[in-house]
Amino acid sequence: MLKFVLRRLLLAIPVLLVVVTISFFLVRLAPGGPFMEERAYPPAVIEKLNAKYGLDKPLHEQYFNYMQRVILHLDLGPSTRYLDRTVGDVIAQGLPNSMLLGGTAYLTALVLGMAAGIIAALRQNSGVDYGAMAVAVLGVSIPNFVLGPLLVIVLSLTLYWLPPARWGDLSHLILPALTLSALYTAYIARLTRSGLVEVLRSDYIRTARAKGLRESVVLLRHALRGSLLPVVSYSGPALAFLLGGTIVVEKLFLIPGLGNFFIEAANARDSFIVVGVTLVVATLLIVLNLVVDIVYALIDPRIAYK
Amino acid sequence: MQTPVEPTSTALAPESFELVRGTSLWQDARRRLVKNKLAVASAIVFSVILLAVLVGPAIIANTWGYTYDMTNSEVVYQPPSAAHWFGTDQLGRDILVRSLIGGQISLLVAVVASVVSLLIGVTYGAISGYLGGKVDEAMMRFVDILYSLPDIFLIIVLLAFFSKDLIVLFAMLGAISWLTMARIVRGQVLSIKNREFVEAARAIGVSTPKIIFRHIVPNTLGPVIVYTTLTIPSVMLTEAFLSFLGLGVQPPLSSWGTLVQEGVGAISVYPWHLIFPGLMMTVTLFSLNFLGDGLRDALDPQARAD
Amino acid sequence: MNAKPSRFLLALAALALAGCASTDAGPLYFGKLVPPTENVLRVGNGAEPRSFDPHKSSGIPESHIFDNVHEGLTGYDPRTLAPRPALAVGWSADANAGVWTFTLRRNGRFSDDTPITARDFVWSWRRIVTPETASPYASFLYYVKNGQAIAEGKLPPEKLGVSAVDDYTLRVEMEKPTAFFIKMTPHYAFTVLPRHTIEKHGDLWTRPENFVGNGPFVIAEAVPYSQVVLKKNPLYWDSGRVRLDKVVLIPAQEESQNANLYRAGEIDVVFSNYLPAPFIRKLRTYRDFQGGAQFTNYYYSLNVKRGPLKDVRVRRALNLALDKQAIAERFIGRGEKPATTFVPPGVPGYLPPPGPGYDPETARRLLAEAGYPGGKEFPVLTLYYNTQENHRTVAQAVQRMWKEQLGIRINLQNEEWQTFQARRERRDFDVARDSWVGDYIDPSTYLDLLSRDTLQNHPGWVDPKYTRLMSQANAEPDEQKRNRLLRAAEAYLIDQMPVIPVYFYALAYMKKPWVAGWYPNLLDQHPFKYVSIDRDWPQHRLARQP
Repeated sequence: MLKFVLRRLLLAIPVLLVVVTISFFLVRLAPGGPFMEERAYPPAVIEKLNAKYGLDKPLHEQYFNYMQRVILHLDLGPSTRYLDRTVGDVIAQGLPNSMLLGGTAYLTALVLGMAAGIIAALRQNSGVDYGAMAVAVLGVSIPNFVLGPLLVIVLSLTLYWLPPARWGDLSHLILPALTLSALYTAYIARLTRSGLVEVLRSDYIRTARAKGLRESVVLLRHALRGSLLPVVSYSGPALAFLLGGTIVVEKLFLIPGLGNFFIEAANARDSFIVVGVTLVVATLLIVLNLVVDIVYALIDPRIAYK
Repeated sequence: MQTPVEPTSTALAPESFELVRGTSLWQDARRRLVKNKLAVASAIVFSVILLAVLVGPAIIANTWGYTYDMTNSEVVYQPPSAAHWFGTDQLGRDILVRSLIGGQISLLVAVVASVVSLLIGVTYGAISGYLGGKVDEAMMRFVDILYSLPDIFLIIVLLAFFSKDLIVLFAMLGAISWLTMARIVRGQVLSIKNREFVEAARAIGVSTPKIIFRHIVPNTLGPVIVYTTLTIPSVMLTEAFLSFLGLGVQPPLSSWGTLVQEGVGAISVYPWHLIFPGLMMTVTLFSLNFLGDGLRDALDPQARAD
Repeated sequence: MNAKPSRFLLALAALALAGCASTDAGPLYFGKLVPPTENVLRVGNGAEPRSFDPHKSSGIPESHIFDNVHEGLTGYDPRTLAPRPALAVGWSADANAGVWTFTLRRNGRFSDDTPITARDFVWSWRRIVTPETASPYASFLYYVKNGQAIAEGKLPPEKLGVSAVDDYTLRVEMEKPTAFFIKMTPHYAFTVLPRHTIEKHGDLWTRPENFVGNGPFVIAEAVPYSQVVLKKNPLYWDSGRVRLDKVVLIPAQEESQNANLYRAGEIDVVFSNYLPAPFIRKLRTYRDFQGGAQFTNYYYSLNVKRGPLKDVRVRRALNLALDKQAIAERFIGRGEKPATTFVPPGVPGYLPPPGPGYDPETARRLLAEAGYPGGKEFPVLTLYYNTQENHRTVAQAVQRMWKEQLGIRINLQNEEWQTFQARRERRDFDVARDSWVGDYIDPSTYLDLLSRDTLQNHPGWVDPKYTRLMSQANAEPDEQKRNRLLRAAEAYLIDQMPVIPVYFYALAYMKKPWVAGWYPNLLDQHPFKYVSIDRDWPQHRLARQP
């Protein structure tokens, strides 16, 4: 197990290098530039600015300088969009907020989704089942840029229960977390249901039942454990995206998270922030996928890591 | 190295698996599908929408004389009425005819993108899972890399270098949304590849490609279908995002995604602009989804063994 | 089965409708009416600032901060925008406006109690033109002697035509006689910055913990995507007149966010153009809606070096075929006025030339003369615009009008902002969406856009006659003669039609009834110095009733 974890962590290094390299060049290939404004800067000014950020050197040289800075000094560079901040500042500020929002949304989705999935699976092909799955489809097919405004209209602007945007206390967390969780609740509900339905049909559950174990024991100890696998493996990438900042919901509710920084930086061609945030998301993804694999082994002892 | 199994847990009950011969897989499936009332109802609803979307615009043009691009400054933002069943938009255009045209585009996106994503995802996942070992490891890390890259830049750069032909675009959309499909198929394949029937095929010297595509892939269809029904809404909405970047359909053409996006901006003052296209899209997604569930059940090898 | 979700959606929609219906029928004001308990103004400010250094940003949301934490020689009158004495108590120009002399007040000081002298101005103005500063507004100093040469690195900053005669007298030598220079001085490009803190902290001087300014307010807190808090500066020379203790600027970027926060009573006022267009038709019926003229235009740049657009008759035809009244008043409908000329109305003393109106007959005739009768053989042009709801609406209306009136087809192509700007700057378009926000109330802020071959000259139209008219006008010290020359230049511009003016923007904002001292004006400038929270607003409102 330890060997497996070490191996995966070692493998993460080339993966991250490739991600940084590709995203570095992708941003540079995109049209426009960090100092292009509606009120055009005089060419002399652009020259000075490029020199200040080292953007006047040939591309490969910029790349090597950047990699050197990242690897040797763990410095992700300055920001060209937020002039008195570095990429490190931006991540330190945005990541905790994004993680709080994403984590809340994920837990909400996990609880609601699994509950709906279990009930639907136990009452397969009943009205409850169809109802739960219909709501799940709704969750998938109503985009969050529609769901968010709908929730705002009802809960903030008609009932005046919750603030319509901004960030601060618990009341600000509820609407964005709900909006964000809808899609994931739907996926988890469907995965739980289909997993559980198949497990319940399998021989070892039949055996357990035949042995005369109580239904609740069969369900909790045997069936649920098996049906958790798809949910767990889905959670890796899902959590990485949720924790790493979600553009639409953060924009919709004005949340000072990584998603807002990222999209603004992308629009302003701030290559330092774009690459830096991409690196954060990739790291989250790799770590969480690894965690998923470990959790897997814990849930299902038959999976062994060499 | 053995990486864990992905969604669905057929893997957990290998001993129960039995391929019953006699009636062909497809005949069986059709019989079972026709018995599923919800699936049949969904098929009917979907056919009605498809028909309306295909012939509706011509009928409206002949009856009322509205086309999707006909502006009229006299009837800006009219609520639904006898003259305009779905109301009008900010340019005084008929929302019904725009929703129907939008349906043509969105259904085209759904078909092209999901076919492309199916082809790439299933092939990639099946090969990765079947070959296993180092190849699998490398292929999955490549998926990790693609997962982490900022797709907004991928799209902006692709846009700068490729044509803006609609079909090419939709194919490109499929080409960036196959990652999860590949992971799911790979997990399935891992669980199937050591079954008796695969080993039997290997023993009698069937070639590797033939084993993968004849014997293994058909047995992964259930989860693939379910996941495809989840992909369709996401590509329809991604199309709207592409339109935002200047890819995708250009006005005055519309798609359900772009109509919903426009409508949500005026949600609390001119709700019909969102509700009608949104409803059409939701109903379509519902019927596709239940049809997909029906198909999955019909193709389920275990159900067949019952 | 399918009935369920639809009923659900309809229920939500019904609630949404109920939400508006109730406000429609009853209240005079939009949303919650709970005034803040303290003397705090909460403002919807449109975007996250790029920088708090007035020499390093040209954005409008930033300007709302700069204008209140820094102060230069003069400040805007909150109603008329005329320059009012600020650090300068008096000024004079020589006969042809070639040299300006400003007398500074003796009690001016920074927020850390350092006195302000004429030398601080000299240092600040040199800083903005120094190439290393890379200021987007360096060009404002081109009117000052040697400004351009310094910005282009040809002369050292010490050669700038500004000097301290003594501690409280500032002498400004102009590059050419510039009669309208005083109109520009309230702009933050001419403000004074604290040399001592900038030299100490470098780029980080704008952080709240290091910040020093000299305006009525200072930056107390700046949390990205959350808020910028300004608090009253007790050392400001005129602090007795400042009534607000705190101003909270919220960077609500989504237009609907501003409307929602306002409706929920979380902000008191929203700057113009930050509210969603579809709402405005409805918002107009409330008392807290404010409209008015704005010094901003909306136009299409025509690439005069490409295909049929080389022909002036084609350009005129395209213009005449647009029903701008329908576009401005029906399709957009925020109060915009159809435009037949380039400079927005409202410049005192300037009479715009007459511009051609909607005339599809003549348009068809001109197009036929140019060799495209009925639009036959006319190549398919592409109109580019950056992704935004209003731009998309206007573009589709234009596309339809040209098709109906002239029989020509065009493609529409929207692009994400950077991609679009890059395209416009390399002039890789046939028709491109364009607009300009005037910097000061003078026609030259618009007409100079096309007087030379700069990056801002998107049509690529360089005409010697126009260039000559413009340089004559800008050198003319006599206001009346100058306005006549500018008028002739604009008339020529409209005749040659490298740009199709579509409409002039209108102010459209919401202001809670207790916000006093915030007046509609052409530049949407509202110095917070004059703003206050009127706790007795219900009585005052009644008193104002006719």
